[in-house]
Amino acid sequence: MQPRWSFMRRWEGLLLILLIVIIAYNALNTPGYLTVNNWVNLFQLSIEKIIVALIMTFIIINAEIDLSVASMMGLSACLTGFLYAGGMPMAGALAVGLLAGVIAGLFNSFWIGIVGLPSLVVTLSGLIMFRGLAYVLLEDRSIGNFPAWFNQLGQQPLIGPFPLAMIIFFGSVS
Amino acid sequence: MPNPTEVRPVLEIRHVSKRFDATQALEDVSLTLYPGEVHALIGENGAGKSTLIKIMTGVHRPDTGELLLDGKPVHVNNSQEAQSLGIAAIYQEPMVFPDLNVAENIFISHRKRGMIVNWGRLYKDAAAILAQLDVRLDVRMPARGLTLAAQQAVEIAKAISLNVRVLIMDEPTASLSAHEVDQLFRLIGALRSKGVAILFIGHRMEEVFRIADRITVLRDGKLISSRVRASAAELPSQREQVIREMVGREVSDFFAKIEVPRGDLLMSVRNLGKAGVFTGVSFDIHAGEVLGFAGLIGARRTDVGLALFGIEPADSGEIIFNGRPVQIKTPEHAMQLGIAYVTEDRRGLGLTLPMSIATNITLPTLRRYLNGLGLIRRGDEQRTAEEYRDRLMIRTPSVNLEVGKLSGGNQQKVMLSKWLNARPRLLILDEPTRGIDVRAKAEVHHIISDLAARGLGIILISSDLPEVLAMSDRVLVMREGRQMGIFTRSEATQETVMTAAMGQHEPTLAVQP
Amino acid sequence: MNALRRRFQPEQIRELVLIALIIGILIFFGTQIENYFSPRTFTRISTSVAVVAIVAVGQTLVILTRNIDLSVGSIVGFTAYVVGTILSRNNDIPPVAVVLLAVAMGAVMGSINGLLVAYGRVPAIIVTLGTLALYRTILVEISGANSVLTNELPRWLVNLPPVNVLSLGALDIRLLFFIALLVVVIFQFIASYAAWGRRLYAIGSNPDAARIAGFPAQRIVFTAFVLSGALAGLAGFVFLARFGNITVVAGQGVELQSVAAAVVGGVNINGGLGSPFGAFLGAILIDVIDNSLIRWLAISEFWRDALLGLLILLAVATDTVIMNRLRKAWSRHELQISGSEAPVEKGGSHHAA
Repeated sequence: MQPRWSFMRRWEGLLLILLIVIIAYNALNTPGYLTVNNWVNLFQLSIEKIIVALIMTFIIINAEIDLSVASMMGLSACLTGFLYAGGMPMAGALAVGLLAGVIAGLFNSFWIGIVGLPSLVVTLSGLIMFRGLAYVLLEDRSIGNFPAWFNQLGQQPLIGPFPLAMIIFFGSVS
Repeated sequence: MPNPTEVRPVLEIRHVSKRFDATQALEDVSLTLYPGEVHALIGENGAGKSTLIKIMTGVHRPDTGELLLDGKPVHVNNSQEAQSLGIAAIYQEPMVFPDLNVAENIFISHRKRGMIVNWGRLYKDAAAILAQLDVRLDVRMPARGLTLAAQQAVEIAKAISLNVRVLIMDEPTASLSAHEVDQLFRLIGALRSKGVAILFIGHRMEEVFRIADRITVLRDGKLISSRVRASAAELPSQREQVIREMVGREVSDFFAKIEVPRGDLLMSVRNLGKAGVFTGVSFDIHAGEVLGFAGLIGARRTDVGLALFGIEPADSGEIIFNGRPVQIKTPEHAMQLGIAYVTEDRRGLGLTLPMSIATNITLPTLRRYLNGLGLIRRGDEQRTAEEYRDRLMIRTPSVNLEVGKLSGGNQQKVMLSKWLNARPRLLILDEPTRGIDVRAKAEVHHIISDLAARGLGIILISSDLPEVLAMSDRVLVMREGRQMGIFTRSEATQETVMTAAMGQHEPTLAVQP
Repeated sequence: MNALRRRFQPEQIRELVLIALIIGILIFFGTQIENYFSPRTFTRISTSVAVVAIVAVGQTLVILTRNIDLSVGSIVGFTAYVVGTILSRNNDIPPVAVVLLAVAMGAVMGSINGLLVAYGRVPAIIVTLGTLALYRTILVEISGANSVLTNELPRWLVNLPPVNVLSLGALDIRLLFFIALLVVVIFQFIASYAAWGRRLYAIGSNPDAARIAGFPAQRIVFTAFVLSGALAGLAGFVFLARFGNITVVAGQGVELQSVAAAVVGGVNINGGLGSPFGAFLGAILIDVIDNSLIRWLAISEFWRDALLGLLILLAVATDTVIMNRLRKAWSRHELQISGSEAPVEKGGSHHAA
């Protein structure tokens, strides 16, 4: 059996077929579905989930779970905004935000890997804690007014019609 | 001892057969259990003892034959039915609930004590049962803190509380100290006086002959003999007879090894030991030589293999490999030296079942297949896998097939390929032909013989005695972690090896060339 | 001292520690916040803890068997909304029927979980994550994004929260809190004294042994899930009574709160240890901290979640580290009491082989 076809019989193959069916259905019933614009939008909406899901694959394969990823995302983003609003240059704020994500992950792995606590409860507490820290930073304000180049990066096409998000997606998947 | 003609049997097993795919686990086995009698069931690994137990406790159903309880046919379909019929089993690993206390463990399965727990009465009843057995344990203690022997006592108490009539004990003494064995035997005595029929499975001859009233020998799924224990004067000869019946297969059925001139000394092991696991292992092995490791389950031969490969390193003794003393503490080091270990657990540890044959074969030596960027050269992987497919006659249309889908014999060959690809000088094989069909077995033997001819040193750990005798140049026998001796090819017969494996000899530490 | 050790297992010590902690924290906040020790505080905390406490009891039953029920939040929201909608259209349904309806709905939703986990052998975390999403989605669909409005509900329901069952001096025991208390008492009794309840512990303690031990382990796990759903349904009713206005996101997050309460309360996530009473204490502790932080002027209320998460982590860390040591010390001591490591016979002497 050729590798290509055996792939089809597994769960992933089933999902692929389902995806094709959904796309076909929508393409037939919704005008403008197959335009580049539409597809770019679709990706933009889900890119965060996709990245997180890719990483979660490794965690779940190891029979563990991480409930705190959403809160880590929020904390990272809030920290970046907080620092930027406080006067730090955007690039620096971004770097610190990313670093915060790493530190949060290390915090989880300390309790799970070294102390040996169950991953369910550690990440449950992480979920609440990281979100809480985000609250402490931003309280109930919101921060906007990011530099133009930053907004451009996230929302406008980068290479040809493809925005940064799609490039990250294809890069991570391969 | 109850006279069989006066006392009626509790449980009769009549002409029971059971087949699993290609293996006939039991063939026309009949057994009778009398109340108040200890009936010992002995046989080699794979003789059919655990299948018989599973049929008695309702895990499996016999293909043919029947079970009669008090003369009436019964069908045991699950564990609850077995319990209500009064059949219970105690295994080597006690099945207690660690978070519940002793009293609860005893009574948790009872359906007739009502819906509400009367704790006062529970503790009193539990203490009463333990008193019947002359056992002193705090019934409020959580089962977690108990030693293995104490947990066994709790299980026995549980069986008594359920008015057990047939108690199966599967290797109950395997993990007990001598003192604890005495106490267990006293408990068995108490059970006896209550009229419980006991089916005792054990491997230690001196224990079996101490406790049993009746001895039945199984071999290859067939009943070989069933006799009453002899008087003291006749005991030694009965023992010999029983051992002979346990192993008596035609050795000529198996592939005999080609004579190969012995090469240079590969490895010398002196007094290798690991605290609490094995001790006093000493041997030499040369290139082109097959050294068989014989012994019963629990002899700790696998642990010696794991120590030589660095997975569970030894903590005493010395190893001299290629003339230089070495300390093997990691598998990487062992592989560097040229040692490879093929595990007995091919589905769990030896192979990654969802991955392809080619991936499995190249896994330990993956570094050889990486290009400059660190990516895997799939083409080279394929080629290597196909070479081994041809060489070892692995039956598969493609090396990209999932390994989990292969037959046992082919899986074994994939494991062998994996380690041969590491180009070892010393190959440790742990149960290489367990659970594979006759043709694949012969092919594996052929491969082993061929490897020896090419100058590999091979340690063959196997519970299949005829296989060990046919394939080995010398046989090292172990028993419960101690080396009992090394037999040359001419000295090694089924009787001598089995007798040593069961502990009739004094251990000899002298290394024979 | 030995007699004391025989009476109390390490788990019970933990519950005593929890009570001490709660008292300690209450005293602490009493020094920080004005008018803290007032009947109003008691009322506020007791009514706010009611919903989570009821759900936490059901969650405990499931966790004891080494499973988990993440769908309870959706069940609470679903039952609150559906019962609320039905009541809005028919104000005349008798109260008892309303409660029964909520409980029955929850039980049905729980039975789906139970079927898949106990008989389908699908891991509980996956099943209940799925039903969490499923039930919530069905709710959104059938609601058409409408909300239940207080002014459409019957008067007796809207007036339920202030109803007192009894008053101890100045302290009012509200009906809704009383329902929670009743649930805790009943299920604590079941967990300690009912054969069914004890088997929950057995199943979580050694699932393999439970399968061959001679009692119907699968049926017991199924029932645990049904009860978890039923209690979530009851909690949905309490939720409805308390808030009146129900949107489609009602109950979101309750599943995590109930797990947090159980874990803080000493229920071991691997099953076999803990109690509904412990989960109740856990819920109270979390709620006290939550409610008090809002009023504590020294720290901004935005620290609530951060501190809460830390609390859960600490609870589990101490559980694992300290309890393991305690348990070992307990067992070691008890082995000495019984005289030797192995069963001891009276007048034992070694027989010749």
